[in-house]
Amino acid sequence: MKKFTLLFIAIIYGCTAWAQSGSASTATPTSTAISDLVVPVSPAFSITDITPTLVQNPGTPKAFALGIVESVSQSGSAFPNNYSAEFAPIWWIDPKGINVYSYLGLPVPKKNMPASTKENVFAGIKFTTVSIAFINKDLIPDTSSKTQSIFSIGIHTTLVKVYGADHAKKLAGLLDRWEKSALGELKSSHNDSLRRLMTRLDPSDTAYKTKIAALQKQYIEDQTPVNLQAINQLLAQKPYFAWDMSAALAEYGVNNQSVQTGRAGVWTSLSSNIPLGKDSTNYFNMNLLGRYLFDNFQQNAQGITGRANNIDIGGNLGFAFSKLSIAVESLYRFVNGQPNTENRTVGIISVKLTDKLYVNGTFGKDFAGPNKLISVFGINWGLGNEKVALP
Amino acid sequence: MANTYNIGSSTGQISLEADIVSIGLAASVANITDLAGTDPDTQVAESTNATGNIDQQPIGDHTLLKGKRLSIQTKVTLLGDDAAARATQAPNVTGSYTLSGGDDGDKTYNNPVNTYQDPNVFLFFVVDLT
Repeated sequence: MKKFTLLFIAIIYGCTAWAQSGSASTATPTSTAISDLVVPVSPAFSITDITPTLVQNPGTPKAFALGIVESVSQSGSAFPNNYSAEFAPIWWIDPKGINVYSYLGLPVPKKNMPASTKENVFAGIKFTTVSIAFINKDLIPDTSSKTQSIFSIGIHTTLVKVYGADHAKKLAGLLDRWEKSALGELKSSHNDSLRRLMTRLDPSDTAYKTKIAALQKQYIEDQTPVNLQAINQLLAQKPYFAWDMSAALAEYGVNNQSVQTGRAGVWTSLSSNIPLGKDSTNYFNMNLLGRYLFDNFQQNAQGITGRANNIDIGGNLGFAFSKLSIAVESLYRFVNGQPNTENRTVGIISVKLTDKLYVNGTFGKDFAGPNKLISVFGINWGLGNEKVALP
Repeated sequence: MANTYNIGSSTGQISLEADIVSIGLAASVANITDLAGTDPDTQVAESTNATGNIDQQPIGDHTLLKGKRLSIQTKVTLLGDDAAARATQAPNVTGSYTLSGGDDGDKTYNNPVNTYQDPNVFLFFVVDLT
């Protein structure tokens, strides 16, 4: 009852805030927010404004080539039809060097030696991902609705990620514990009897894999799920510092004769998360984000389509608790080299009322002209039970 | 089709190396089974860290191995809370197994059976030693 009363008060207040903002500015601003500057994981898709539902993850160059050939054969032309893929080249180049330690930035422990806990803060570079898209879409804002054949490619990487020595030591200890538990499980009498049955199956039997899978389903886990939960909880902690970067390029086949660069972009973010106490998942956050976007076919306020270079620089700082986040964010836009042509400085509050119900408020100065105040209130029904987080 | 490794007339030690390719947690155990007999299986090697790899090491000579089947079972647990991401990773979990010291010299196999039971992937590989 208390929650419903709070919700009712919040809605009434929100509607009031919405109404107050109406004449001074847009109630639902469409201008850039700092969340739009977040470094995209799949920049080839972001730069072409697509959210593909089916993304191929080719594990080998051969699988990638086959995927493109299949898409071309379905399109009926020489250009693949809405094909998108994402992969980490390391899987193609040096898969033998991939393991859980290289992924987490820890040294591989040597046999009968105490585990080293020296953190490799550059471990993310090895797992740089490439995203690629072939789409047919109209991205030129003109009177024609003819689609262009668009090829986009992007990369995303984490250049630096710092968790600290204490985190690395705990993680190494948990990995060691999981490994010992897993070996114990594999050698337990029940699981070993399954292995003996699998070993005696005939590999030339056409149902061999099915029979293996059926036996494997009877595998009994012991302590590894508990160890895994502890590892996942540790991995959910935010790094003290992270530096992410993405870049993308989109080429437009405007007609059958010419190919032009349509859009290009670079995103970067520097983020710092300082826990409010030992092992705390509440943080003081500071983020600095930057985005450069080149668009050869951008429509300006006068409706004229032309070349545009936009640089957005923003930052925020605030506190993120389990049920509440409070932040101040500021965003500056430079259009075609003109500094400070647009900016936005707002305060943001987000409250988690229940696991699936959030109330968000944004108050401050928005883009487009002097003294444009915004006062926006929103309710978000989530599907998960995530913390309230800053962008 | 069964994998085979020909020890042949070699009387020296046969060595095994297993490389597990995954960003998940992994552990491996290698055993020798006498398919024709009733002797208990013999464990000949195991991984020593969460890579699941088995460093190159001798696993026995022809008196122990000839006519037997070598099996290597690996449990890989995929990390993270994203079930879709785990499902994407699962088919990419694989292993390569190298035997050496027999008449076949160095021979590498890359065809373990991959069974996915979220969040675990099990790799199972067998080779007949002749």
